[in-house]
Amino acid sequence: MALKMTYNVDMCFCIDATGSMGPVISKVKENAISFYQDVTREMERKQKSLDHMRVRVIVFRDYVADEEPMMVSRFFDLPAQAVQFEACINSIEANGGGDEPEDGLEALAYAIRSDWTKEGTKRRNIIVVWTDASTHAIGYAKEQPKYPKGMPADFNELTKWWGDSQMEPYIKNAAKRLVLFAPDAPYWKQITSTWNNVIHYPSTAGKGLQEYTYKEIVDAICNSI
Amino acid sequence: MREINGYQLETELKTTNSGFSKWGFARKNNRSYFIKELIDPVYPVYEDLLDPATLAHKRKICQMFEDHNRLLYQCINNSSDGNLVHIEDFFRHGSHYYMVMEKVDAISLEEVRRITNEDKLRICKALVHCLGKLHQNGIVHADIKLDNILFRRLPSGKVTGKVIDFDNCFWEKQPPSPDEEIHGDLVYMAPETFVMMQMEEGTITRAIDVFALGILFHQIFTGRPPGFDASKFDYPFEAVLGGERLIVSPEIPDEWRQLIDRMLAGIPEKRIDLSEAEALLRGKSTKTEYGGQAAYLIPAGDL
Repeated sequence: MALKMTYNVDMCFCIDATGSMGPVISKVKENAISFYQDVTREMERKQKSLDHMRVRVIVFRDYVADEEPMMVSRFFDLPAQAVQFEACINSIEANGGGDEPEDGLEALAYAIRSDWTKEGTKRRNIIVVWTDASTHAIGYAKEQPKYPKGMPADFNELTKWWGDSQMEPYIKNAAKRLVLFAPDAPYWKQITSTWNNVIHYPSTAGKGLQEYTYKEIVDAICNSI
Repeated sequence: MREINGYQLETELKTTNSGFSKWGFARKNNRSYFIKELIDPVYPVYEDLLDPATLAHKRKICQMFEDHNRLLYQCINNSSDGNLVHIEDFFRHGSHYYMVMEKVDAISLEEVRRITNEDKLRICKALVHCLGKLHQNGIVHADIKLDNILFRRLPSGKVTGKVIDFDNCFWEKQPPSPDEEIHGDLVYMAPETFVMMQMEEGTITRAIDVFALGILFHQIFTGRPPGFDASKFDYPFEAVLGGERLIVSPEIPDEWRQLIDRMLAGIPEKRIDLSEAEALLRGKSTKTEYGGQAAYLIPAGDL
């Protein structure tokens, strides 16, 4: 038996890259890039260690209005693949979006089905969503040619994908956390009032991720270890 | 500012220094309270979004949680001699559960470091006593650490400590199953907790609190955890499992050094029980050399 505790963190950043995110996207990108260093620095301060951290990115817009409504990356190992991760983040540009609700629920569906690590004595699987918009109902754009196969049929099915203490089809209940930086609007508020292990920081359109909120998220991740 | 079930929030709930639950301060009937929003389970309130089976499934989880925790919190309150923070209220408001506790005006850790040895001894004795009471009532705290002790100055000027945060508590007769992730701080983790997590077999008992308390006492006396080879290991439990004996600092008074050493025993069965620790601190032992509980018995001599 290995005598060392291994602590592995996988993070999935879901970033709304529609036009309205223009004023805040650079701050979101800056936060995403500095996340690894900020978490490890805080862990060291608490005399704790992190063995393995991976991050993937999902960029979402609107299946009805956009040419590239959903883009996903693989997991990047940090710090080894920090350069590639940074290039990925820096390639995100805020544009498109059409009407105000975006397709954030489909982004969450992709995030939940991430290839989460099964290694490590302790694990955290964290999804962070940055958006200033409400979402369409899941499947709103299912007639669109680019709409993917295999998406949950409705909110009920997506809720089952997220799971609970007795049902964990894709993501371990003890490991999972969902951090929403999203407005108190459909379907984010329904998620907060239905799913477990969610922390919602209500955002206001046009305002970025407040510094204290970002620190709170880093703190919360380090304290949950 | 928001009101939650009659509690007027003084500050918006935040996750600062918390492992993902939100907390803040609130007032009700001219008293201030500490209020905490729990993130698991969540009671589904949007009935039209879930099918009847999913809704019933989630509400059943909530009911089980509510029944379990109501009984647990009642028993914690009954165990308290004043050194376990009092749980004033537990309720569901909308989709979330909340715990309300007495507000303790704590002194800073900087100030704690400067307290007298007499205060340190009194705090440690009080912690042995109150956790011992919790154990007698069949409850394991499971998250003993410096952050979960609030130190406060009494009107007399003396300092005392109160145990907070009962999120990880469990009934010793119903321990977490081996495949469950055990929450709790790695610095204070008992070796058997790690073994259970790694091997997905075995069990944990009140002895995990004793190990954590040993680490905590060492910090109270010296400002740091007990010593081990930090070039080989990250945490005390790793050093113990690696065959090291944790080094208890000679700065600590003799009686307490020996006690802390016994609290940090690698094998849970060999770790001192808090009832025995309390008796030792009072100057009498109820335990015989061979380790069994003795009442009116002495070791038999030659015939």
